[in-house]
Amino acid sequence: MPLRRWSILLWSLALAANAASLYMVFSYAPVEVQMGAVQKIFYYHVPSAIVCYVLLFLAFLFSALYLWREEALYDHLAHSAAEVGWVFITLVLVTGPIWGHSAWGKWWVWEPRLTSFLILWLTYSAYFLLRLFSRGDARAAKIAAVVAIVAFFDVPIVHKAISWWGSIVHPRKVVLEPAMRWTFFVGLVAVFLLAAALYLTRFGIQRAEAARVEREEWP
Amino acid sequence: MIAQAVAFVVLAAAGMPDTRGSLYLGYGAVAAVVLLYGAYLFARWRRIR
Repeated sequence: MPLRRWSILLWSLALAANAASLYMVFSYAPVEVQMGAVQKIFYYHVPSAIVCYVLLFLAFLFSALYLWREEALYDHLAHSAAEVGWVFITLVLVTGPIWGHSAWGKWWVWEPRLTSFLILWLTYSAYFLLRLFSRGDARAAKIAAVVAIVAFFDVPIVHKAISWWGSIVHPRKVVLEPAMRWTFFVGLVAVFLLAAALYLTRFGIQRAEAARVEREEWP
Repeated sequence: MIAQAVAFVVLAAAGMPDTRGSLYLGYGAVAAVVLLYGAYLFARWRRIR
């Protein structure tokens, strides 16, 4: 099946799953007793964090493959994964403080999980600045691949931050009742499908741009 | 007009008596980020067509 059809299929599934997820968040999931309605941000906040881990792993993997094989395809796959991953890091960083301010009275706390996550966002922002201000040649792509590989090492630090150093605002373990668990599961599927649709669209655009540049260079 | 609409939604959400205002603000922020990125992708797609 061509890329365009996959893209249409994924977008249709993503829209349906997100509609179902939002319905469950606002109509099905119960209100948490201590934090109130704001706790429902959890159903997009946590899946966004999980999805960004996966996308950044893909950026790491394809960057390593690019350095090994030097094929432009891997560079495009890595660049697209890093960009969509960065969008999901941004989602986590935007929803977290809104939830935190309402639940704990603080927008931001300099604790290990939040600080390492902010470092992650800054590192991938540097990756895009490098892409933006370079000429887009193979040398710049190689440097970007090294940055993506090094940047990924912050992901396990973010993930293990709570068990290594503790946390003021994040619990070590989350226990959900069945209705909350189902809502979380549907939210996870919805966010995964949205990320997949964005990733495929972004990759398709990059491939088309590269093909156009090739056509202009070799008439 | 868009700025006025956004300001209205933010003020309405902030003025809600319980934590529902923050909940709507959170999901509004998710929608805004995804739509902004979608618009960026759409603009790039239009350029190559």
